[in-house]
Amino acid sequence: MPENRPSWDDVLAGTPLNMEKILETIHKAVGALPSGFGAEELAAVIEGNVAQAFSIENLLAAKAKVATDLVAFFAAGGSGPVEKSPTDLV
Amino acid sequence: MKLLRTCLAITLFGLLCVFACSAHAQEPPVFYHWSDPVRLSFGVGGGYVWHTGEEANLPTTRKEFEVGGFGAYNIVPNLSFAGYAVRGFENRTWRVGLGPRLGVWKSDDKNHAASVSLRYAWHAGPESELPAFKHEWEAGGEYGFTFSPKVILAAYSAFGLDSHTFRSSVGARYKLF
Repeated sequence: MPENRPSWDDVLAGTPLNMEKILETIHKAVGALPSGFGAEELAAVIEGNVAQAFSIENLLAAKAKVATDLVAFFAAGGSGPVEKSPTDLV
Repeated sequence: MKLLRTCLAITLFGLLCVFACSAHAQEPPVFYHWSDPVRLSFGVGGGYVWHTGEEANLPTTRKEFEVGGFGAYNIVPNLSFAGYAVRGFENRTWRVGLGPRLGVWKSDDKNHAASVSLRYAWHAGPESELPAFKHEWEAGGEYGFTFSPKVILAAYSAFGLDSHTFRSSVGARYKLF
């Protein structure tokens, strides 16, 4: 393992910080658009969602759900429900 | 007495309708085999990307537009295996990434979603434009908004575990399937 590899604390601390930069960029992009498209409202919704979405509680809850779903998936012989997400293609 | 029977019959019929509707609403989810193509998604798109972080490890071109293809295989509802191949307009390098993606949040209407991911990324192209670490593990966070059935607005930030640099992007994807 390379010596300069960061700890998971660095990773978890760093990603939300950069998400703020993404939001800042979204704000700038929205500010450059002509008003009346509803872009300001969309940016406000996204900002609220990001603040809510990237929490340790959500991460742990998702991890637990996936563990349960994977057990059910393999118990069913490799089949189960499909639920695609907008982030699949991000 | 006849009126009472009629009222009882109507009430009973109403209750049966309610039970039938609730039973219909709780239909078991459809199961798909792991090999079913319905699990696959594919789209094309691009965005504006910029790099920040440890100065020595940053690529020569730090801000540019990039385009490419994006795909995913949905394993279970909150877990997908996702990949991409994109090419920068200015640096003319290819970047390919592959890894698991964990959905951490979805809005009630399922149009907004956030995920975290871990993926291995490779860079290829002109030597002068390649970053210091040509391949490395990345940890990232993604946000997607279904703008229309075929168009997804996308934002992500990924942290290179070896290079200590962030790559962030905002853009759009056109969903092919």
